[in-house]
Amino acid sequence: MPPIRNRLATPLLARRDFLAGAGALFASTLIGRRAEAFEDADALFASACRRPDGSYGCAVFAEDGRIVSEVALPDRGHDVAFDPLSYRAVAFARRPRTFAVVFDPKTGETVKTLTSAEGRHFFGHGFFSPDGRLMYATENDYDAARGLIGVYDVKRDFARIGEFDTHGMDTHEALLMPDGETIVVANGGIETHPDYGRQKLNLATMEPSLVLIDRKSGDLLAKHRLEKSLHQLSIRHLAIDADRKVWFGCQYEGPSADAPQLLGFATPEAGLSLIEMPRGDLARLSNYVGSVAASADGTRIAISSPVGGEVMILDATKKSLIESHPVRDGCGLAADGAGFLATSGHGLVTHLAKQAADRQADREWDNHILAL
Amino acid sequence: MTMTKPSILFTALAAMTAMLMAWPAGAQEDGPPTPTTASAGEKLDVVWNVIDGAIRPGYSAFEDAAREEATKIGALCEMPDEVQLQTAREGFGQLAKAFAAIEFVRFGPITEDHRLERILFFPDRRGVTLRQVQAILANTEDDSALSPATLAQKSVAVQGLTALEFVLFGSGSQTLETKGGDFRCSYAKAIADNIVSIAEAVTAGWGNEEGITSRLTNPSQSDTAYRKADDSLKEITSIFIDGLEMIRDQRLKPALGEDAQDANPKAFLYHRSENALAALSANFTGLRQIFDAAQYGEILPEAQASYLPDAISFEFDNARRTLDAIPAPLADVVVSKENRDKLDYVLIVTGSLQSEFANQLAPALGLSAGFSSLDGD
Repeated sequence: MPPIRNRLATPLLARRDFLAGAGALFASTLIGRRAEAFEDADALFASACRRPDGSYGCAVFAEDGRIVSEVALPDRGHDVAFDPLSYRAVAFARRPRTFAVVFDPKTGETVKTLTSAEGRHFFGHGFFSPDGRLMYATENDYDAARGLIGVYDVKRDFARIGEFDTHGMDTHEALLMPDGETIVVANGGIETHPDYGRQKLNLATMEPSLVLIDRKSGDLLAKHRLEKSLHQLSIRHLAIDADRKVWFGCQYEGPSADAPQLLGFATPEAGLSLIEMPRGDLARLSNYVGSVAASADGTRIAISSPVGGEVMILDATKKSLIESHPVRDGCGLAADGAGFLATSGHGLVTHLAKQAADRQADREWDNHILAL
Repeated sequence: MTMTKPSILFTALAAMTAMLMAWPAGAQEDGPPTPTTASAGEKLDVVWNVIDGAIRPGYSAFEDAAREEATKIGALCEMPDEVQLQTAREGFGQLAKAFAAIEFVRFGPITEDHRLERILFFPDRRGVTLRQVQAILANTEDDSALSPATLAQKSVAVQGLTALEFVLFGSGSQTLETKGGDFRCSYAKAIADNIVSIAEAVTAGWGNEEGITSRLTNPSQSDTAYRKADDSLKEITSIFIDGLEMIRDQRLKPALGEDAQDANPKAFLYHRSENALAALSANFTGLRQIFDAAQYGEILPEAQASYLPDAISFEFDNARRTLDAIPAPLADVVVSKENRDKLDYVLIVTGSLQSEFANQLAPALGLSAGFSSLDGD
């Protein structure tokens, strides 16, 4: 199976593999502490962040939290995509902004800054095709309140060559399924429009969905919805486990006392199912899951709630909680060897289910981490 | 106060605002403020102050205004004439103001059963209200919009204040002066009665010592929103932080545009009934009442208690003075050369107030939202 991306059950890009590629040259050009960090690193990660001077960037860091390289962003970023074949990464703007910065994670050098098409803005997530030829980004056709996947031709200098309707609005995270051909899309269902900032415009009528589309034709393959009483449960973040179940994490826009389940999984046979988390555990998520990640072997799922200040690890087969950690404002998650790496908005880089020291960075980490 | 030289006053106000913004910065030379050491009990006292001193009275006033408007529309339907229509239209203004004063409380019973959107569906970017209300008025064979019970099952866009506004003020509303407007009047009555039912449910929810009041004032580990006193205090403080952001992003900016040429007067809430300014003023009055009821000074660290409540009150006064000096209707003001700057100034004051709550009050209370959880994604 070709490498796909961090939220899939794929091996991490180990330092020695990185060195075998263009990384060797890169390592030789690093200086001082950054070279040291790189030399010691078993794996590298990338995350958008806010820097001490208030500016925004996307940092590449080792598992011990030491920063290896960093690219400046014109405004606040969200998630990152990476193509291991060309060693190009892309930091996407947080909605409703319109930039995506293509950069070299080895040096932090900007390769190109993309601007979303007329009448569109980025929603903050994206990924590459397995052969590295195409990049896909979640986008908003905001006048029509229509979710899209924008398609970019990497070889043609990231020219935008088309767009796929996602058959829902507020298309948030999208991933490529392990077949390399099917895109799974989380349509959050919340209408926003840049004229109204980040105001939510349709809470009474929102219709979140999880959609499968063909990555070459854009054809709709399946559309799944939760039962009608859960129409305010916004499906936003995704990860795929070893059994190819698509796990989805939600944020609830209805009355806080409702306390619906926030984590579920989708299979082709059964559609969407929510897991049954006991009330005491559920309460700690504060009706909000901010990111979802699968472990490297795909047997465990991690979820985070920056609002509740909690990160949890679940067994993907038994669908039950294994462990739970309080992490204030914790949101970013990525597989890290046998465990998970988590980051917080207060700059913490911490290891879950793995013995390693925490590190406090002088960065405020954004909601997502990509394992390079 | 009659204002003959607005530009001089505004320059003075802007200078005072700038001074005020500089003042706390000077007081915080040593970095971020040390958060309050107030006890959970003291913080929950502030929460209780807001519930009992502002939220409950605010919703009661809204319920009263809804009931009065239902009575006025009832009288209009029974004896339609010009005077009764005028009375019903005035009652609408009172009702819109009463809701504006409490609308930024966006937790508790107002979030159940889509009550908020059923009272006020706004912004309505695609003009759904106009389209759906006109469809109801055009089909007098279908009486399902004429009883509050069946109306409550329909689209939120045809149930609330903006629907009632079109019925009372929109094209064809003059027919309400005659028996020829029976169908339209019955629909208006159903909307008002439906709003009364929703308001009753909300006031009952807040009046009940169990439910939201208990959840906020007795935080518990099993609660999804209020597990400690800080959670409740944060919810209360969000009324200002989110409310002022809504004023900026929903009520002012879309209508203001970049300049008078770019302005979009129809983007004002209640532009049709010329109640936009009254509702905007009531937004600020309501927020001020909630702020005064809270008595934040009791739990702020001494360094902030000595100036921040006064600084916030000063900005609320600025907003009040400016709004009082703006002639209605806002739809004219926004495209006028001489008065538009006053609205620009309201936008500046809104931003200053928002910043005082989000960047000064909340951190001093130890409530700073983290980077990741702030305005979530």
